[in-house]
Formats: sequence, C-alpha cells, structure tokens
Amino acid sequence: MTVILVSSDNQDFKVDKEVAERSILIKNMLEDVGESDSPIPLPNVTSAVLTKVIEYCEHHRNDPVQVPEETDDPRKRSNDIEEWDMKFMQVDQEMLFEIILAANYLDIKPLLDVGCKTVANIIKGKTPEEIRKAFNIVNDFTPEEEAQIKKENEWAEDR
Amino acid sequence: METCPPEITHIIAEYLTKRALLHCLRVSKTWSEIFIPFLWRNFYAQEPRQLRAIDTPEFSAAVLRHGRHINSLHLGSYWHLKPFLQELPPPISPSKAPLDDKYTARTPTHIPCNCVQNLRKFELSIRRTKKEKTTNNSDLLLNLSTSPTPIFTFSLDVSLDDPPLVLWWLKNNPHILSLEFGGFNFELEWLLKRDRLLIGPSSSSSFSCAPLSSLTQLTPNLKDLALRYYHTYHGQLFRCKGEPLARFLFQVPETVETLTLSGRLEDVTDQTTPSTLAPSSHPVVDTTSPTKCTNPTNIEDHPPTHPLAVQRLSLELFTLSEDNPQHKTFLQSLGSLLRRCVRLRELSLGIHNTKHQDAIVSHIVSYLAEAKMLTTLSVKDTLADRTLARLLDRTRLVKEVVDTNNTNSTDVARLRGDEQDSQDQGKEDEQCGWRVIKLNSYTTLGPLSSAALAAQFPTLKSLDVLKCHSCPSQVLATLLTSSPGLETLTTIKNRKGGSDDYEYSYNFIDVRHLMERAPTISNGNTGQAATGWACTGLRTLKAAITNIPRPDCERTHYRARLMPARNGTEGLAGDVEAQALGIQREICRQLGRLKQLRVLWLGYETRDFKNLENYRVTLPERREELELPKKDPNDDDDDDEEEDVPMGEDEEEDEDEGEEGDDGDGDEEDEEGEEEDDDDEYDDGYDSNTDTDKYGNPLMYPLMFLNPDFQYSCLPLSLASGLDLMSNLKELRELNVEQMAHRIGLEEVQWMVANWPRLNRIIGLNVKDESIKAVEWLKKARPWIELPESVNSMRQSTWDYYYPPMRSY
Repeated sequence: MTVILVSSDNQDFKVDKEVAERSILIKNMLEDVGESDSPIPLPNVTSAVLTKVIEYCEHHRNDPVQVPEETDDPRKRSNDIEEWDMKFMQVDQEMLFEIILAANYLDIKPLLDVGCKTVANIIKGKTPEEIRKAFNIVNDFTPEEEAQIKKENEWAEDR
Repeated sequence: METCPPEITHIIAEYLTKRALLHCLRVSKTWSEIFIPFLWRNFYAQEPRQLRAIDTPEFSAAVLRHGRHINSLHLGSYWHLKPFLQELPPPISPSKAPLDDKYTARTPTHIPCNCVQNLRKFELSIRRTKKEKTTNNSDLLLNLSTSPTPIFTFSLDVSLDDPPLVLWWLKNNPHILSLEFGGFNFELEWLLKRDRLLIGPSSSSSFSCAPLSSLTQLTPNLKDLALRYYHTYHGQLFRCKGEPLARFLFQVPETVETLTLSGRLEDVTDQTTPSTLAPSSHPVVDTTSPTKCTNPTNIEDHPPTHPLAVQRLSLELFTLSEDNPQHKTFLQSLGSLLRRCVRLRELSLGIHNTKHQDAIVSHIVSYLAEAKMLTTLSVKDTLADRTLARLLDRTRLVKEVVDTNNTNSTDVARLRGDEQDSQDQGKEDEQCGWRVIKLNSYTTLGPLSSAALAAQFPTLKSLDVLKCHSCPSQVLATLLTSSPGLETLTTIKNRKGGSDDYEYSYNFIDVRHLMERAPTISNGNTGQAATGWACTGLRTLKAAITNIPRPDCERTHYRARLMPARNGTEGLAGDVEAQALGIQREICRQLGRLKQLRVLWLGYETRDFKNLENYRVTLPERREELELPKKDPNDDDDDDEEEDVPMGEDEEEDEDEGEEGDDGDGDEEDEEGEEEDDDDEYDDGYDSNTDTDKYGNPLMYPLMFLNPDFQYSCLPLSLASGLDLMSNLKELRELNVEQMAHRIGLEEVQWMVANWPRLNRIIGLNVKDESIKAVEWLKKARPWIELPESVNSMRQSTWDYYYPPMRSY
C-alpha cells in the first residue's frame, strides 16, 4: 500500500505506507483517517527536504523501534552515528537544519537525534571563532562582554 | 541555530560537553542565551581553582541572573555558598505556588527568595581546613533552606556544629529523598542521649521539640540514610558508642531503602560530650505528641519486628569487638535489624578488625539466611580466607546444612577443575546464589574462598575483582568457560581512570587455563570446534589474558634484555610458531563467539609479581652501552615491540634509564633493605660484591619491577593471528588494547570499522609506527571514534618507574 505525500511546493511523493509510517505524525494521521487515498499535505516541508527525509525512511524502513539503551554514562554521546547516517548527513548546513526541523515536525525521532548529533559534532572541538565561521554567525559581543562571559563561567573550565 | 525551536536546541545541547558549551556561550549573544541554562544546570565547583573563579563580584552578579538554572549544586566550601544565597530583588521573584498549605506556613510568599530557586540537589564536600572550622555555617545553611522549592537530595560530608539546626532543616524540607551526614562523630550520640531535642535556629524565637524517633515524621519520604565519613583516616571516622548506635538501629525509618553505616565504635570508657552542644540556652517546649517519645529501655526490651524497606545495606565498621559489652549490644540490634530487612538486595560489608572479623561476619551471615532477595555482595575489606568463604558461599549459607569448618576437601576438589560437580550443585541451588560479586580493598582469595566463589558461578552475572589482590587464574578461566549467565567480568582497569591511578590489579587469566577448560580445542589446527566458552551472554569483558605465546616478541626492561626472556613460548615443543598461532587464533575464535560483547578490554600490564624475583636484567654501566635487543631472525621486518617507545619520548626515557644506571647500586640497596623485612627472596642469587650471580651469568640486577609499559604475551590482534575470527561482535562499542604488544595496523583498524559497526572507542592504539598510521586514518575516516590518549603516550611522570606497586603479600 502506498501513500501520497505533498510537499509545500506541491510536489507529490508516492511512498510505501511502511516507509511513511516512520513518521509518527503521518502514522497517527493515517490511523485517524483510516483507509483513504487522499494525499497528505505537508505544508512545512519543501520537496528537496522531503526527498532527503524519504531517503532516510527508506533506508531505515526495517529498523526495530528504538529502545532507550541503558548506559552508565549519564552524558549523552554523539559519536555513535552509523556510517550510512553519517554520509546521509553530509549536506550543507541549511539543509541539515531543514532536515532537523522536518524530522521534528514529522516526529521521526531517530532522524532528529542523528541530526542533532551531527550539529553537536560540528560544534565539538571548535573554538568560538571556528563555531562562528562554521555557522556563519556574526560576533555581536564587544571584547569586554566576551571577557565578562568568560569570567562568569570560568568555574566550568576544565583542563 | 537561532531559528531553531527550543526543543531542538535542547536536544543538541544534551550532546555537548561542558567544554563545547563553554565555547558556544562565547559565540554570540543569542547563543549565549540558548546555552547558559545547560551549562549552569549542574553546578560543580570543588577544586580551589574553580572556587577562586566563583569568588569574584562578576560571578556574584552572574548568579543573580543565571541562578535559576541551577538544579544541582556541588560546592567544596561553605565560604563560597554566599553568592548562591543572594536574595532576588522582589519584582523578579516568581510567585511559585507552594505545593501544600502545610509548607506555605513556613515560607512567606514574598521574601526571601534565593537566586537558586530551582535547586533540587545540594552537595557540600569540604576538605577540612582551619578556616572552614571557624566558620559559622549554620547561618549559611539556614539561608539555603528558605529556598522556595524543596531540595530533594542533601548531602554533607562535614560535621555540622549545630545538630538542632539539622533537625530544623529537616523539618523544613519534608520532601527530602536522600540524606547523608558524614562526620557524625558526636551529634548522633548527642541526639540519642536525649529523648527530646530542641529544634530551631538559635536566632529564632519560635521553637518546637521532637524526639529523634520523629525523624520519620520530619522526613516522610526519607529513602537514603547514611551515617558515615568520607575521609579514610581512621581517626576521622564517625564514632559512636555501641549503645546509642544500637538504639538508632531500632529507629531506622520504614521508608529507608538505602542504609549506610560507616564508622568507628567508640570505646566504652570515652564519656566526653562536646560542650558546644549544650542546648541550655534554649527553653524546651514540647509541642509534639509525647507518645512518640519512646523510652529507650522499652525499645531494647521489645525490639520492633515489622519489616523494613531497606534494599541496600552498607556496613563498614571499625574496632568492633565481640568482647565489649556495648558492642555486643550493637551486634544484637544489628542482627535484629538484619532480620527485618526482608527486601534486602545488596550487601556491602567491611569489618576492619582482624581479630573478631570471623566471628562478626558469621554472626551477620547467620541473620541473612532469610533475605531471599539478597543477590549482590560487595566485600570491602581484607578478610581471612575462611571468613571470605563463609560470606561468599551463599548456597551453603541459605541451606545452613554444611558445617562451615569442615569443608576443605570437597570444595577444593570442586575448584580444581571438577566443574561437573559444581554445576550439578549449582542447579539445585539456582535461586540462592550470588548474582553480583564485587571483591574490593585488597581481598585475597585463598583455596576456601576460591571454592566458595566457584560455587556461585552457575548464578553469577557479574564479577568484579578489580582490587582483589589475588584471584587465581584458574577461577577466572573456569568462570569464563563454564558460566552461561555471566554478563560482566572486570579484572583490569584503565590506568588513567580515576584518582587511584596507582592501584593495580594482580589478576590475569592464563591462556593455558582457558585452553585446559575448553578441552575440545587443541592446537588450533582443528578448525572450527563446536564447543567453547559458556559465557555467550557476556557484555563486558575487562580481563588480561596472558601467557599467549608470542614468538615475535621479546621482553625488555626499558631497553635491556630480560632474562629469562619469556614470551609465552616456554613449554611449547616442535613448531613453536604454528602452535603459537593456533593458540592465538583459538582465543580470538572464542572471543568472536561472544556476540553480546559491548566492551572488550584486553590491554593491561600483567606483571607477574609472583615470579618477579626470577627475572634479571643486564644493566650496562653507561648509557652508551645500552643495546637494542637482538631481532629474532624469524621476525618479519616491521619495526618491533622492543622499540615500543613513541618517537620523541625516547629522550625522557633515556634520562630515566641513565639515572637508574648511574646510581643503580644505591637504589637497589635501599630497596633491598625495605624488602628484607617481609621477604628474603631477593638476596637469593644476587650479590653485589661478585661479578657473576649464582647462575654464572654476568652481573645482573634483580628486577625490582618490570617496564610498566607492556604486556607481552598477549593477543597480537592482527588479521593473520585471528582478528578475522571476531567479525560477529556486532555490538562491540569499546576496545582497549592499552599497554599491549599488539600488532594492530591500518588494515586491522579498517577491518574493525567494517565489521564492528558500533565501535566508538579504541584505547591504546597510538604506540608504534604501524598504529600511528591507523590512528591517522581513523581520525580522518571515522572522526567520531574516540581515541583516548593512552598511557603509552603519556609518560608525564617518572613515578611509575621508581615506585612500582607493592609486591603481593
């Protein structure tokens, strides 16, 4: 059985129901509507992003439902991204955030997590200046303000 | 990032480290706003450096702004509590509705409101200094307790000089879930001496009074009760006379799930009561129900019998003696407490008194027979073999049939490899064996306790012998090969882990014991044998498997040759290389069958302390004469283990060596002197006045310690030696090959990444040239795989070289 998804720019995407149901939003929608051929409009997702999201769902169509894993380490780790996901996430930054937003809207938890981990990995190990460069951010601190921020949070510095 | 909804930035922040968060704050104003709450959520300042950082006006101002983000506060000093107690200016103060009318009464709705209004957990951990002692900490705590939201966890490892304040504080925080008092050296006694207490801050005019037994009323949710002192110096442990403590045991609140008693029982003659505690200045007003003020003599005559909720019990008692009547009273009430702990799951025990240990342990043990759910044991001190056996043998403990003093022959037989027997035995008693055993603090396993431990194997899920002084290789090998339920085995630890870096494990698994116990496997030429180790559910294996033949390796002591140059091939006859390869591949095959493995640590120094005196090393007079050990002609031409020092580190190494060479004589003699008391073995075969030792070899120095850098007779983990047989470890996340003479190169690393999809941490790679290539490749191709700095590249101190761990006693 297939489902038709309509992106914000009015493109139709025909996908297997199983694939579409990776999105909890769509899954719930389908359950509410019942058997119906009417296309599902996704006004928050552009076709470019939807293509990527569907690609992800296709690849992970057979994944078991995620069970939170018990770990000794309360801090979450961002370094356990699978190889395929890693490659999948190698997109420009605008797209990366678009995917994250779409995953959030469509309620695809694993995709959301992978996206956030990828962002975290971009941030990790970078100096503030490098982060600004990576995310194209203008430094709006005066040198005094930046010094103050540093001073206020010095207690958290480890070495 | 700026456009992201908060729920997404929240997830991202969860994945960031403290350091990354710090950098994020400085990116821009928006980012600063986004990430401040995450950095401040868990506030931790313990080190002097951190405390200095919060002792500034800038920080005080910052707390006013960001204090509301703090959920958990850990401080190393009272002095530095002040900024957190600042009151918020009234307009900003949120009008948080109290949960219940009961609590509204005590907290006026408008003031005061601390800037840490969302604090849930507070920890104060103080290293005593004179300065701290003179502080009046009461007022500070008083301020904290006016926090509008309840603090759930409160932990102090300091002695409060105002016990009434404690109870007052308790009363004002009825939500408390966890309460810990350390340094309870006189308060407890003081509290127990009186049926009624004055409760209330000294400055306040309203008083109430309650007996100690109303601790339950004051803290209706108390889950975790601990009386202990963190510091390990005996003199600083909490002290209590046997009798009051005994009475306290009768009064343990019914809600408590975790109970910790750790300290010293005071001598009966000591009658001093601290004068500072005299509450004479306050009028005693009894407002609580007098019926609750139970007469202590009544308690002892009619001890309560209702069951307690205690699930975890930790006892660490010093100077407990059977002869002392007060201590006897204590032991009796302890017994009565134990009987009531019907839901007990975990027991942690340390009786630091060698003379009475056995009697006390058997006393305790006898009360535990009815705790059917008790499956976790942690032994916290050095017990005699017989005593430890008593404790370990839960099977027998429950059955109460076998006379504990008449055991040796059957148990020892069971240990000596007759697994059939112990397995059969195990099936009968499956429900009542220990599931989790942790042997700590230099316990030594003798024949009796080894047997008792082996009897637990059928039920054992987790064994930790990290700090156990000697756990025989046979026992560990039997465990691996025969325990189907085993999930965790820990015998080694990362050298860089934690503060006690210089604690070493003396436990390793001799490969020969493993091979003996999986008998269908012979020289490895047999191919895929059907049987193997029974522990197929193993998730964590941290064990050094040693004595694996490595014809390609030669042991060195720094660069001097080790005599005898043992590399595990001793005892092999015929085609040594083929046999060695067979054994290496067989171990890999067995490891490869453990499909649930998540953590695999093989790397560790396996100094064989028992045979240390058999080693000699030639130390040339001068540094220039240091020779690189000869290469094995059969060896392939890649650069070798003997030269295992990374580039650039050689200098330091040489200096160390030089120093030792120069005044080697003096050092040796000093060491010798120290050793003489307990052990004369070193004199044997060593005479500094002759040119040869008793073997007729040229002058050699006895090896006081081995190069701490290497484990030689270990798995090479190259593809040729069996790594390829481990492709089923799909769950593997962490591999530790630290300090191993492994041969993991680029190809091996690429294979691992291809076959172990979840691998995210490899410890100990950066050793040799070949590995360095692998490291470089990994950093580029798999940047998310953590490669923690290994000891091999650390070498920051020479401590290791000159102060090796003590030899086993």
